Amino acid sequence: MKRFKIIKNREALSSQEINKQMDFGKFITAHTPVNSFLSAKIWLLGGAGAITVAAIAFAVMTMTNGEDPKKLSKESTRAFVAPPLPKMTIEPNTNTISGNADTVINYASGAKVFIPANSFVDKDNKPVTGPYTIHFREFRDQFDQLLSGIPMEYDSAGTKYQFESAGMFEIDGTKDGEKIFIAEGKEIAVDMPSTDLNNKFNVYYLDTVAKNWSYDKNNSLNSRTLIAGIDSLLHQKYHTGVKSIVVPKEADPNLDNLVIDFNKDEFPELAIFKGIKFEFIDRKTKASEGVNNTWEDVSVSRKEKGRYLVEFTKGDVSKSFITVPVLEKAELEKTFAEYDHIRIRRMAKLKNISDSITNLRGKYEKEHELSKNANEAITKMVSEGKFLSALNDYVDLESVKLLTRSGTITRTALIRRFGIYNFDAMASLSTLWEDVIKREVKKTIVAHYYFGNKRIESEIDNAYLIKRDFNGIFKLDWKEIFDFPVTSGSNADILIVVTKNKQFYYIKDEEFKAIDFNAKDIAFNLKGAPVTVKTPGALREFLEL
Amino acid sequence: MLLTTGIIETGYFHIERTDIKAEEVEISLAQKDPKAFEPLYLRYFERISHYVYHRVESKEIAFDLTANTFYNALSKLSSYKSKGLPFSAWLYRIAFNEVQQHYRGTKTQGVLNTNNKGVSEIMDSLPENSYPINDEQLFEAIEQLKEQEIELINMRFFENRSFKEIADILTIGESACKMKLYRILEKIKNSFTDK
Repeated sequence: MKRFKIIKNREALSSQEINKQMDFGKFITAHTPVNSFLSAKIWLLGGAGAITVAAIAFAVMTMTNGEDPKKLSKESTRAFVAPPLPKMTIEPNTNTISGNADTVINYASGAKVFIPANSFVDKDNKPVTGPYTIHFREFRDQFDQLLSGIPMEYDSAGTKYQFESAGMFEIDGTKDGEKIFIAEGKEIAVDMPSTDLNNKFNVYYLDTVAKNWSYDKNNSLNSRTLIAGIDSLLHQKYHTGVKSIVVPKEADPNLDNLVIDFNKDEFPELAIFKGIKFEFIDRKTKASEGVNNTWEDVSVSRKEKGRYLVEFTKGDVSKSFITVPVLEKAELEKTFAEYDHIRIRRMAKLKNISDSITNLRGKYEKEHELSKNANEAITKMVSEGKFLSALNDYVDLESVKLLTRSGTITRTALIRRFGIYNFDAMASLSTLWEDVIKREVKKTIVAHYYFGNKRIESEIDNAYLIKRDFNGIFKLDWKEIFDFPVTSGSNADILIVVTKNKQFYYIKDEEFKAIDFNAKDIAFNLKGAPVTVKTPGALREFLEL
Repeated sequence: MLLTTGIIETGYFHIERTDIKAEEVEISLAQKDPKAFEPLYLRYFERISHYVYHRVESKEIAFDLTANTFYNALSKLSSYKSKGLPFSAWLYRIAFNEVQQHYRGTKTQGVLNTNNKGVSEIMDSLPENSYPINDEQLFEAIEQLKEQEIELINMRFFENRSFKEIADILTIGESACKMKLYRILEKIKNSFTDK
């Protein structure tokens, strides 16, 4: 017998066949007995014993995540989530919903909350009917995170990871002042606009009982809005792209014109034509009015409908003319072929983009037909990075920026209980704060905190490090403040200190970076915010965050 | 233009160092909590399924062995130590062992999953002065190779993997990988010239 059976040109497994088999829930349930926290000795019990152990393990694992949300008290949340500046908190939006129909709440930020009908129950598990109130607040950047007092560290079995956030929100519900709860089996979708197209951000829920973040869902990027955004982008590109070439007219022998040596980089729409002249559209205007005087400067600016304003200035005197770009007949014929070529090339390129995106959409729609669940299929592609990979071929970086700026990109969390959720990615402390904090090779440095001539160490409650280009905050606890674990300088931008009596101090940017972190003792000469800074907005502006 | 993504998705396998770092964080979490294995499972399930199916006869066996691969991976995860290689390289090695065990256990004939493109690429890569050969002669020559050698031919020509990826999976250097392949092709050539 031959060693191998030769198979030729066999079709690969289809996505549908693979998706059908890929079930992490089933996999992990089957795998639960192999746990690192139960000893092999216990596992050797075997049979019924093993099942008991597995059941206990399951109970342990789900104790925090599966906690009855109705038992979560506000007090526990307060103890864990401690805004450092109680007078500067981010107020929630409150919306009162009447009735019980499907509801979408649209917030000014672009966030949306989708509430299916009959989603809520009271503490006795009885259905809640409207009017009820939804409280919703968003924490978008480091400053919001600072004021929120929400911990941005993720503790995994004693190892701490720093969260980088793509947005965070808190949602709660009340009826007649009493807390309400999301009914079992119901899900509320929360969409938050995002400026980051990166798909590394997962969804985490803040478990205030376990006092830790709990992993909820892989990848939060909302492909539904992403596709809509691509469509809109394509539309814009297709039209504005073509229109951006200005077609010169043939020069009118009865109208005066000017030759101006304009900057072709500034007017790319005219750059392809040689011998452009600017023709006065007003028959009464004569070139001599501009030419016969000695002017100090001449400028050209773009107006509507392919017109250009030509302005001559000398001191305080100026004279301006509305013109259109023209070419003499001979020049026009010579360059028109070139123009057509460029136009056709551009049209073809745009058509290719259009076709590619249509194909891309078709692919997902096909998935929809086959899987009967397009959202699931697209979400899967997004989570595997395939969607972005496909997108890379069709959409350039500028377009992506346009998408993110326009708020078209959103992240979605499907929530089954009220609380605080974060679209987060983990960053390793050792690499992220490598130059700031090296816990492993920490050397004892005594840090002194001064405000003026006064030392304020004993008054400090909390301290935070902020790096402008990293959407997360690093909280130092008070012990670390006196034993500041810094080794070789800092890549952080701001150090913020809050005292027990809620006074706010800071040292930032150049002054912070100028500190010699290799010195044996470090003195932080802190500043206070001006008395006029009383609101979150003013403080944000003051810190330039 | 390539967007930066946290998901390792550049090409079929290629992975940036920064992504390896990000993945190390995920692995470290999964070592402490099996539930945190989910992103890794979702990311690599498809690739491992393809890899296994390429080496076995039926889809049922492929999915069974894929499930075993992930089961074993999670079971052994506590002992996993990153060597700066992509996590998938480790998974492929487990999958390879699963396939080998399957054939040893069932004592059945192995599978060489070929395609026209791969065959013509091998033909083109054979050192000069080879005798003209047909597909069947080539398969016979491949059959005489050692298991690891066939695996290298398989990955390079029938799965179209890069040298870097193959090197990572086999935990050898990229240049050693190229050298090995060159020698295998020499061996194939010699099998014709010796006849």
